[in-house]
Amino acid sequence: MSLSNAVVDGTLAQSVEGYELGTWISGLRQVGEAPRSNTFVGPDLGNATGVETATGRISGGSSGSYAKPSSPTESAAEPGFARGRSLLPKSYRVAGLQQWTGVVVEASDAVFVTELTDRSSGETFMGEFDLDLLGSDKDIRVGDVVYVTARRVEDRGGPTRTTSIRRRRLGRWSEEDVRELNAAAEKELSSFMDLFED
Amino acid sequence: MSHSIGASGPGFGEVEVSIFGPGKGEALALHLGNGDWITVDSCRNQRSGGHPVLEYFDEISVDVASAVKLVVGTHSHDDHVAGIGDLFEAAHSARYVTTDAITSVEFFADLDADARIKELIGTSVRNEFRQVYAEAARRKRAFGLLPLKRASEQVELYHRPPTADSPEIRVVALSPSSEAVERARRALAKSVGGEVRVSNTDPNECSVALWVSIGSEAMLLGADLPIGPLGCGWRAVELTHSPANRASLFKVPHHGSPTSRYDATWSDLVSDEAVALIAPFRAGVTPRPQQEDVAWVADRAGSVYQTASTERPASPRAVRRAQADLGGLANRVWDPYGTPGRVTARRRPGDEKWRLLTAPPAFRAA
Repeated sequence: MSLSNAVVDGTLAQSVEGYELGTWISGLRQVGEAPRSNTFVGPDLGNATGVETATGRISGGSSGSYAKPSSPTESAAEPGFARGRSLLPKSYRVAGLQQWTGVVVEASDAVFVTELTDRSSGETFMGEFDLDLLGSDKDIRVGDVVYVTARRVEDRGGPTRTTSIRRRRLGRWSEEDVRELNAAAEKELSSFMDLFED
Repeated sequence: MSHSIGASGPGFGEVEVSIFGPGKGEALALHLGNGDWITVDSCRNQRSGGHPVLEYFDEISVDVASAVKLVVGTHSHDDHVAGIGDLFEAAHSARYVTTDAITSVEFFADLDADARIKELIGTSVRNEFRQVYAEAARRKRAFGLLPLKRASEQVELYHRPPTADSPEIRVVALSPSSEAVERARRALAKSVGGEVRVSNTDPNECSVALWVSIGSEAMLLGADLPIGPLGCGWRAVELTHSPANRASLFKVPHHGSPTSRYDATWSDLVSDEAVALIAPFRAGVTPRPQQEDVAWVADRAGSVYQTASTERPASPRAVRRAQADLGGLANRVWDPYGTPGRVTARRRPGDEKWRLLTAPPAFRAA
């Protein structure tokens, strides 16, 4: 992600680098726009190939399934895209970032409940969310994982808070994975059964 | 063997059942007389990080290392048994009882899958089981012990013959049934394969319900056992368990939820004047027990006690901050745990009734 020279004090770049991809950021504005506080939610674009046209999308990062960041010149004409060094004003700064990992513990037709764990402190609590927030990822089941973030951004026009939730798809078990797991399980079970008195 | 029961603990020949919760999970501690204790499940105080059962034992001067004979884990999912690893490690003389549903290749494949998922997201649901397993393996290596016992329907887990001073004690598992174990195996087999998800295959129908008889007194500890399906749950217990006396104390299964309400259990196994004990569950969309759950139980029991209110507790500062941060995104954010309460029921030989003590926020619900 080539934002390290953009913005600012490295905070945005650090938060983007540390953050999984496909997240909408609503607080990006052109200089001169009035400040606003938005809540954006976006679908998990884990398998997307980088088709993003709306403002505020930041792409790039460590997961191979996400779109690779485009070059700065390619994105220079796209307003609001945080790509390269040219678009974010120097006054833009991410002042606070909260991140939670959530494991779904209950899901119904309309809402789902997750146990959220603060990624920095480890504290846990429950959160209930509308299924609609996940867009096309609504087929959520108990055991699925979501990432939730709350970000406070400061800019010349004032502070903006954004929140987002997205599903984290953990991939699929390959046949080789399953074979390995079962083979290891056979051995472990044998050792485990040796601990029983009956 | 020496034991020590402090001034506020049960008397030497006195039976005690204490229930703790909610923390993460719920727990029971039973004094079987003669200084012998067993524990069922475990919970953590999420506010303090403390272990309510170990703290209680410390308060009443119970030497956990020698006095606890059985540590029963009715589930193998961290949500139900938080802290059980620490409890087992402290209970040097105890055997660990586990549901027979986990003695399968499928469970261990699920366990290893959980370890891999933990590397991805930092979260695991089998940490407690791993800790228990490691401790059991250590005891075998160090002392040649066989520290584990399997529980399934009608398996006797503990027996103390009668003496001149104390009655016969029996602890018998009422579940899981063989059908429930097979269903669990099939469900676990599906958990590894396809999309990677955090394991949620810890079916309540495989939880271990217990029948504890002390002389002519009996206690029914219902775990989270549901009604069925056919061949499982209380439907199976009805066919396999016909005691001479009904229980005078009942740990109500699954927080009083309708999924565990089975008329035959109450009519055949629980006396009309029984003391019913419930630990609430506040982590879901619908907290339990609801008012109508309590009313249903109260219609069939002599009294109902809860370890804490079903109402969600006031959130600590960190949760309130999260609530503010996530306003507009989350419908609601809450702390389900609060401070665990305790209900203690004691009975001396010859007593007609249980004596009940509550430690806040526990209370009598009906």
